[in-house]
Amino acid sequence: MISGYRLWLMVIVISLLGGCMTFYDPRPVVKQTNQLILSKAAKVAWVWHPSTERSNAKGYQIALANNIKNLQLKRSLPLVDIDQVAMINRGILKAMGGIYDPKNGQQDQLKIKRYHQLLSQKITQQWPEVEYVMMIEFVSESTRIENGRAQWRNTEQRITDLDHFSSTDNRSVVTIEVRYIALHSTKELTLNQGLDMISPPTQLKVNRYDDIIDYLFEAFSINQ
Amino acid sequence: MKNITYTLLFLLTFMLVGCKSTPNYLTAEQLKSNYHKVMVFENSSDEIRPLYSIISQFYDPKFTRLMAKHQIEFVDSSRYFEVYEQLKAQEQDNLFDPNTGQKNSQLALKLRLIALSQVKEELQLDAFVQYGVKIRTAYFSTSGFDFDADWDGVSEPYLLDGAGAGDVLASIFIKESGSVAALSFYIEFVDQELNTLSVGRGGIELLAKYNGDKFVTKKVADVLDQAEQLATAFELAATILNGKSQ
Repeated sequence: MISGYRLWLMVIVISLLGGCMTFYDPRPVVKQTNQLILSKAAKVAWVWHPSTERSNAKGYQIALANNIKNLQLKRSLPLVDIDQVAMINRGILKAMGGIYDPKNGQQDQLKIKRYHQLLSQKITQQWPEVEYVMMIEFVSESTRIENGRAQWRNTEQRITDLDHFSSTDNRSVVTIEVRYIALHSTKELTLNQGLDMISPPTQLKVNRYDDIIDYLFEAFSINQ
Repeated sequence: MKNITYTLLFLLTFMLVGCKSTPNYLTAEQLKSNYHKVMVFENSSDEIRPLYSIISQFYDPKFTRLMAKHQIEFVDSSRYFEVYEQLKAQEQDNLFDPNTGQKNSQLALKLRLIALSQVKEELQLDAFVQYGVKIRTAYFSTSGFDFDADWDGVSEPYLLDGAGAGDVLASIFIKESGSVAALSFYIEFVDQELNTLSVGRGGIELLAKYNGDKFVTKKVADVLDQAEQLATAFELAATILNGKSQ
């Protein structure tokens, strides 16, 4: 026999769950072919673009960082310590006083050029084995959910609504833009891959973006 | 003691589930008797902004006639934007964070409210009115044999020609309700702090319909081509001033 107190708690929990939606993990639709050559012992530096510190992007930055660290424990990614890279990156930006014009929010092109130079220099000094910098940026865009499925920028994500079937709807989504900056060659690449259609809390499960991260590293072919 | 605990739990349940109270909007009579001069802004959903000329061409003359009918004088928003740009120029070094490029939204809102307040006083305005076309959500139920989606005072079948009740019952509709995107025209009165005084909305058309297999979407431009629906939507939104009996 359920006591009155427990019954009320159950009512509360069921009421709260009733309106919840389930968002499946995002995944790439098509695999990419290796486009960049990486030496066997080479490494890559994962760098957060300054815009990923914005309040609407910070959650994705934290979620992706946690996810990468977790993935690194399972299998070896050719990455140097992302926390150390982040510290170097912040130091450069602080010394430069930022790279944006406070009047219009546009990037100052001269400062951007200088920023890339300093970043490349510092990373090469610290880790001579780094051949590529992956500069990570988030871009917001709108996509349409049709029949419980969103598909944008080579990413598919399903959504279910426990008490309500949503057929079509426009929704704001986030895409990850990655610039692969070569430190010792001229072969560069920019990828735009859909990341997520929810604003992630910082405590998202740590393997949510495994498929997306794998996709980003598929750009590299290891030269045996 | 036990009764008090149950009462508190009861109240907590309703708070968590999220009961919404109906906004206390002004009636048509209250608007007409207290708001004689307003500033007007066209403000449509971002996705619809490229189609501004279509919206403007159709709705501007109707809006002008509506305001004249109710003897509400209106001015365009050009003076507001002049004042707002002047205020922005004074704060130009604080509008964006130089480290992240993030817009200083609090400052932008503050300047907006100052500009609204300033033009209200300068032009002796009573309120501000925004109107335009927005993307809304239409709801439908799959129980029974009602295959209409309802939103903003209108109903429209969500099934495409050829799709029948059997398709609905045999397919994805294992749930009892659903929603689909739709377009609406709206007229909204706001005060200088952007609080809604009253709002009228009229549905134009659904943006997708079910064909027995999936929802087929329509282009917004095609929907805005439907003069009869656009006119009906305006009349529904205009009840904000005309009253519901007319």
